[in-house]
Amino acid sequence: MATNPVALKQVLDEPIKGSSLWRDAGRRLFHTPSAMVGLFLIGLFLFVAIFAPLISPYDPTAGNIIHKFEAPSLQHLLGTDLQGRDILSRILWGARASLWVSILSVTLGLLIGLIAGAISGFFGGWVDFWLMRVVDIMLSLPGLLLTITIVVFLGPGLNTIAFAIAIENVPIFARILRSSILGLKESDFTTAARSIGARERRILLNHIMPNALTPVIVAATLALATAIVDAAGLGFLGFGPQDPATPEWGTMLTDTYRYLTSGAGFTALFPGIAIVLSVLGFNLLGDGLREALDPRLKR
Amino acid sequence: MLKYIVRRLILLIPILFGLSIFIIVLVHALPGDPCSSILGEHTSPDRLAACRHGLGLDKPLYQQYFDYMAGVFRGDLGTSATNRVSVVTSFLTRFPATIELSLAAMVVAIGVGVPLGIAAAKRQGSVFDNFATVASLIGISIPIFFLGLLLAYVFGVWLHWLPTLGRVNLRIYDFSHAGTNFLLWESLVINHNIPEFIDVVSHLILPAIALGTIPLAVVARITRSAVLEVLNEDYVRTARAKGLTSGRIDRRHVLRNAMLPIATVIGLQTGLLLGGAVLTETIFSWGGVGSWLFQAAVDKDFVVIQSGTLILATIFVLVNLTVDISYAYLNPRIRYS
Repeated sequence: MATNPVALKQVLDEPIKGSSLWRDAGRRLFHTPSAMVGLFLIGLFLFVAIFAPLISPYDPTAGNIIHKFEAPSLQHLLGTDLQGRDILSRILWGARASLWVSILSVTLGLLIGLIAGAISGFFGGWVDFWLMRVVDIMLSLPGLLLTITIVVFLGPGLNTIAFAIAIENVPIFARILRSSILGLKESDFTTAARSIGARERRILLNHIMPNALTPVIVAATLALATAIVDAAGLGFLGFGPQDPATPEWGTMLTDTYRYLTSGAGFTALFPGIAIVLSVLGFNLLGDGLREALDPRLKR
Repeated sequence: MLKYIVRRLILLIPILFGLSIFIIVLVHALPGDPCSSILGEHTSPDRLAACRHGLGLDKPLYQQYFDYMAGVFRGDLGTSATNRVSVVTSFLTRFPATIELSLAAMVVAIGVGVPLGIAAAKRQGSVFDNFATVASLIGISIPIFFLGLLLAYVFGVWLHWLPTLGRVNLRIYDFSHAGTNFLLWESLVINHNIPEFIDVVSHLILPAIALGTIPLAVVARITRSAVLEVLNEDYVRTARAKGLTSGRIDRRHVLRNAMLPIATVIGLQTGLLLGGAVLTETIFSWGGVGSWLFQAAVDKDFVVIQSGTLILATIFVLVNLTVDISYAYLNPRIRYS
């Protein structure tokens, strides 16, 4: 190219395009096959949750007790459950419960956790000290037990489950944001920005925050996966939506558990696979994001 | 080193204090109390008040907290509101069951996870490596209760290979007069009863696999990346150039240096094991701490929830302290003072 003066001039005349952190990360993400599989699974999960009323072959609540525990057939592609309801339809509708709990819990956890983490990281001093002691205490609690206790006292249901999981997430997000802010405050590019006279506000919003948020984004993606598992676990233990008209994946596994030895079909298989696939999707995407957002791994 | 351990133990005290306050406030701030669970919905306000008075729940919260903490310092962690058994007694009878289960799960996780991770790292990019990576991702994504049900169905109900309920066949063996509740120990060392020991082990296999799979997958992933990192170090190349056998390089140079992140993960997974024990113990009717605390939560049994959570949190913090101390052994460059 250098031998061709016209082309060289073209290259030189082109303004230097800074490729932003996000565009770079996006490019890397789309070149990671596992992250793409993850995105596909999440896409499928979202599609199913949104269009459940249109694509489910039967009413998820209408059962015919005569047809209970039927094996998969052409009428019922994934078989029927204890009350003769179509399992496929219930799985499709159940995606809504999982989606709702995961989004609500992570959003709520992020909201509180990020405020606490940002306050801790920016202000330091005794505010930081006490906030972090609270975080220490919350992190030393055995996770699922705290969630179960909160749900028992607040009563079963999707919203209380989401709230309990959010409480579990708060210390994680707070700690991650705080430690990355602390690291970035001392970084060379912050010093550089300050030395060329950038205002504190600009440094904070344009330099520190975008970088400090990247580990939070990864953690939030992985937290979506954990939220789906925990919500299903609570549903399995009997704290899911009490209204049978709201199918929930974890609750669907309870029937199999109760009638395991009395010759029931293994109706847990398909709802279980639905949980694994959606959780796998968020885990794959989280892993891909972790690598894509790490500027040190720039290729 | 001793100084470091003592300082860490002293730092533990404020955390546990904070934890006790956090838990008691949380439990009392949430609606409901043990009396409404004991007496049921259709009870008179008088009986409810009498029950609350009997349990000391009508006192102001700070008074309840001081009473409770005074008991804790005397070694009295309270008594359950539902069955009037002391928390310490219940815990001591049930904890051995959870220890056996958790240790067995950790044996599964480390015994399979570390070799798997090393093998995958040494064949980076191979079919085996890709298979191990995908398998461990699925392992992380599979919920304990689903895996537990799957195992119970396939190996218990379908193939009849392994028992799926309880810790021992109660129709044949009786441990009610045993000194401890460590059934592996009691059957093998105290009773010298091999068929009994085999029965206990066979009951342990499925729950251990169910509980150990997530730690296994995490350990395998961390081991793989830790070993990959070490394999690129100069000292490994030097060792190879010196003509050391690959087995020796693996043991003395690679694994020793890769152990640090692996140990961290093992410590963190212990906390998750205690949480996961709730689900595993429920599915396999395992009479351990997890199912006990789960029942306490359902009964809104304040004292058991408080004390049980405090004990588990203490164990969790102590395990992580042990992990921190093991760093000094694993990496001589780390010196605590």
